[in-house]
Amino acid sequence: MQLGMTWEAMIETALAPPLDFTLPEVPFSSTWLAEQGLGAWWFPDFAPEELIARLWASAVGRLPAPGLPGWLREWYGWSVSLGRALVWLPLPGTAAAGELARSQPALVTVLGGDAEGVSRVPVAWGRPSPKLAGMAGPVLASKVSRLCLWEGETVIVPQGLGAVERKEGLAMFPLDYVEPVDFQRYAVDGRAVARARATGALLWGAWLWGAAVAGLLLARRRLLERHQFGRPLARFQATRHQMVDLAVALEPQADLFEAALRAYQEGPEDFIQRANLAAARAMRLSHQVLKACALFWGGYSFLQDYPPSRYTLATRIFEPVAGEAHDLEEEAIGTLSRSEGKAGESQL
Amino acid sequence: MRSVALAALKASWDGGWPFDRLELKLREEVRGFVGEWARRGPLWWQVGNQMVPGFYRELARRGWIGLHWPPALGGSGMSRVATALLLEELNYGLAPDGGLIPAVAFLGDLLLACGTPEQQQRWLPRLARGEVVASLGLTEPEAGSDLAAVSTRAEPREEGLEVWGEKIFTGLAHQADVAIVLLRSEVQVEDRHQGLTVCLVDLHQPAVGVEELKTWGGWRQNRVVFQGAKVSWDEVVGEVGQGWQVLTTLINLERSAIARIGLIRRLLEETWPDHREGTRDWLRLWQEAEALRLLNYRMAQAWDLGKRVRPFQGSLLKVRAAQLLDEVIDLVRDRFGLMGFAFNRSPEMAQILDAVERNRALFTIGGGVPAVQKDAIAKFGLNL
Ligand SMILES: Cc1cc2nc3c(=O)[nH]c(=O)nc-3n(C[C@H](O)[C@H](O)[C@H](O)COP(=O)(O)OP(=O)(O)OC[C@H]3O[C@@H](n4cnc5c(N)ncnc54)[C@H](O)[C@@H]3O)c2cc1C
Repeated sequence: MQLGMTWEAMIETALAPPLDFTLPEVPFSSTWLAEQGLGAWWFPDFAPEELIARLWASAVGRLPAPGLPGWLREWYGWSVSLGRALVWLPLPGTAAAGELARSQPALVTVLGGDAEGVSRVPVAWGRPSPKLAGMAGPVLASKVSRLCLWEGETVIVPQGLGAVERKEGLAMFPLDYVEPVDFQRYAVDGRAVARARATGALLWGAWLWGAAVAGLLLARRRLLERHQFGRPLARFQATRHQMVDLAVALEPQADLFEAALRAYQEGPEDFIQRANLAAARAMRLSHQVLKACALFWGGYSFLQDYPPSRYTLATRIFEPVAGEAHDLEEEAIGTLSRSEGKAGESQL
Repeated sequence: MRSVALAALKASWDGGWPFDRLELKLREEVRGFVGEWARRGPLWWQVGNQMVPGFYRELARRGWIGLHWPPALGGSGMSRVATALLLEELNYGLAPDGGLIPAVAFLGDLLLACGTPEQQQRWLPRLARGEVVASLGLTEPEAGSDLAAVSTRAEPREEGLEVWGEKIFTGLAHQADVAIVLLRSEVQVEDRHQGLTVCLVDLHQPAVGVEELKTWGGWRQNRVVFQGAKVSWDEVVGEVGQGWQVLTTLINLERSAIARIGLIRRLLEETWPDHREGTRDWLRLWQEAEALRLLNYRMAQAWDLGKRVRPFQGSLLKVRAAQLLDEVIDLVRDRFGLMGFAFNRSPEMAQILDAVERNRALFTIGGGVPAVQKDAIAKFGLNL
């Protein structure tokens, strides 16, 4: 699949029956990132553009969610089904931590990554810190159920946030609030972490971009089907222009992703910048589109069976997972000021 | 330094309008009460627009339901600015004020504007005492923005009207005693705006069914099914067949009451940036909130002075308030992120922001979508 698709093609793609998507099991391999000197990051043998295309397509509904191939669930923990989402980030220790959490249900596993390295912190639950007290018990449970994650499976690692895996689901809170009972720290090259995070952001960004497209296509259908004032909503100039604004903004998103992928071949710095910024833009767009969807659906957007709610829910999970648009932009600004600093030094 | 600056802004927010002594006294009382309530709860973000009986009783006991109604009708004879202040402070303190706006701005004010003296006597004192909970039944599956398309029927019978049909998004119907309902009383009409009737339907009769509509934000909404529900002639508001005129007044009252300025202010205060970066955006929104607050008082004052408040003016307030709240929520979302939302402040604040974010539709869509408000302003305000 080409990343840059015309709108006609996208609409066709979305309306076509889902692909019967059964791939042969792909043996675990770290080739893709290992070649870039990133060590044992877990990616199967997929070209990145194919991955992105697949994530995009599964968001748009082209890939059947329940029948997702094992490798995808296994290695990307990726799934969309009934608004449920499951996430693994390609960080070292993730699988091991997941293993641990599965084998020792009393423990929850928190992973945190920063430029210094990646930590795996299994913690005992049940002694929430005073700051967390308000979150414990039923409140936590309701928050968790609202997230609609698969049960007992997930570890999520945005920077500065911990994620706990529990039998009944998943919750997140700042890492400082966690009381570690065991602590392991992996020393990793900071740049490698930044790059891995950028890769993660790009992948989740691809999903969010797909969600934006899917949202727009759903809205398009709604505008054609719903009548008020004796005509379809699509006949009002206001709705038309709003749709067009979104479509125009979405149009170059594929170009940004492709450019990030090209940069991937050329060197880490430009890749990190491009990936982070492209992902941030995709996130902002998905938010914008989903807000517009709510308007197009009117009161129905308040209801549980509102069609795009699956995306609205999912963005509430994926965006923090990928690192949040705001943080990704901050990271890009940080890189810029560092390069300014370097330029200053060399002038001296 | 930063907190000193915020305190100065807060103090300035409290001024800017020539409140009279009674209004200022009321504000202090409401603040005291809301502060106290916050320690007990539940709070607004936990219950949405549902009525909390304990809280509602307190409102009634203090004479705050119908502040601006005449004392002869159970009110406190204060200004509408006072009512605006009350709503602002309740919102700011995240008080569970569910039921208050339907009682005051929908049913009570509607009857003051369009009801007979008997209807006013029958309803307002009981509303003020907190004995009656009201709800609003306008929207139907096929008639949302386009209310002239309602198809719930009012069939004339000897003793009154018989109601057949279905309403959706009838907030509070599961707790309410009565609903203000827009009905089609005549089918063969030249203009769809004719042949409509507004009346008050008793929700406790067996011919009325209330079902829950599940929302993904968790706050309750309802579908109300009428299967031959009875309405006596004296519960028709305005004339039979003249419902559109009554409706115009009604939605103007509604839109004038739901600006949620206190909530906007509260969210802004919670997001006050702790360093200089980000302050400019924040200050711009703060200034917009201040503009909205003053506009809100000016509109309330116009009602007080008996000036004709034209329907587009309610739309103007509502559409601006919705835009601003939307911007503020986006600012919060951007500063604190989605999930991590305000964890840097307190777990409680995180939940509040989460609830606000999930229930955004209440602010943008409840009371009418922006497109329709804008149409009204273009047509009646700008004569376009
Ligand atoms: C939280 C909440 C509480 C509510 N409480 C109540 C209540 O208590 N009582 C009650 O009766 N109703 C209530 N409502 C219903 C609310 O009033 C309606 O949802 C609202 O009026 C919009 O109608 P709709 O949902 O049918 O949207 P639609 O009319 O289908 O409108 C959807 C979209 O279509 C487009 N559109 C429609 N008309 C035009 C136009 N003329 N020009 C351009 N674009 C247009 C806009 O993009 C609009 O956003 C509530 C709704 C919510 C969300």
